[in-house]
Amino acid sequence: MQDQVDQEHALAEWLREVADADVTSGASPAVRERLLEEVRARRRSRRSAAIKMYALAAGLVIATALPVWQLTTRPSLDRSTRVVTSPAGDAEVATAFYPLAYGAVPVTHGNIVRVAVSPAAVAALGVETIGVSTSPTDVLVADVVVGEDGLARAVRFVRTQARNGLQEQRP
Amino acid sequence: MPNAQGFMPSDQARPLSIEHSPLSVERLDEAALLTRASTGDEAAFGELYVRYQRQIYLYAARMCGVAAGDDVVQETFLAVLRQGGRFDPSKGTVGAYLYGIARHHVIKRLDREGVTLSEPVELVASDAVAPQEAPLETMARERMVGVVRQAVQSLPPAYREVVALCDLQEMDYATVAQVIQCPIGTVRSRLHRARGLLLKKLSSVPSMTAVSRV
Repeated sequence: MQDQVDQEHALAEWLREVADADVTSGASPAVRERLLEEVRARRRSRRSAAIKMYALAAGLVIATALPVWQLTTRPSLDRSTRVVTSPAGDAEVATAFYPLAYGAVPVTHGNIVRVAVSPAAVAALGVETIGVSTSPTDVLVADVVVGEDGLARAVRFVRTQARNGLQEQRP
Repeated sequence: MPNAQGFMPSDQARPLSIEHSPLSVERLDEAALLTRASTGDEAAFGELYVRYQRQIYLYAARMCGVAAGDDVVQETFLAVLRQGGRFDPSKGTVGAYLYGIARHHVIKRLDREGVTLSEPVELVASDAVAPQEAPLETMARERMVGVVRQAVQSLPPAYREVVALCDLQEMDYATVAQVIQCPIGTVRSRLHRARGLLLKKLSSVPSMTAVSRV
């Protein structure tokens, strides 16, 4: 019985010796390098996928928000003014086109002619200006639609961002 | 001594090339470490590797031979990258999870060799390990270690596995039960039989107790 216990103790001792002898064993450095390279590759892949996902999300937000924004902002523009871009690239606020005396005459090739007119001239065209100073020295900028026959069909009034004179004009 | 999770702390030097994020990965619990490692956090992966590669290597080497060690370690940690999110803390420790993956690859290798991990029906103890030519009294310690190692290698895989995990890697029975997915009682009985087989195999070594450890 004692022999059995002694042998078991001896076996346990020797198994510990085996464990101690293996203490420096381990996977080769090449394995670690291969694995770390795989980690880096996956991280790069994830980053690329994340960028694509964010870009897609941003596109979806814009695609969703733009029509909503247009729907919510259009009524106020349609009421009287809209933002346009001048030939020089400046932002301008313009009214809608208002028909003039020959507005009903059909036109196939019209041109828009920008003119600077006095409030009195505008009044002579039958257009009523509202909230605009009527000082004789004031000048209003207007775009006039002129048909191929030379008759003016419609007019709109334009205000550049730097100008404050034109608030709203109605026929 | 085994730590709270049943594993010996790694005594390997930390690789110098591994980066560490501002949040020190050494302080992370192992589940968080595994999660971060599986998402490509190099520092977390490196820390996890340092903690477990040697144990997994030894387990694989003892089960399938030294040549399998590197491959099983690589496959195990690649699986962490591929399926680290599958870890369920309620089912066991991170160590048990990693050993489970390693064991899967060990079983595949043994299958290829026509060996199964199932418990043998009959105990095989006839192939006693013969001592080397030198008498035990003069046998070098390395030689005796080699004899014991050879005896362990000659055990049926199911017994070899519990000896490797319990005796050589000093894992507690509960964790071994998680790894090999059987009741603790089975671990105990396999270990008892394995030790009995080892004693029989080594019985031809004259007076094994005569060789004392330094």
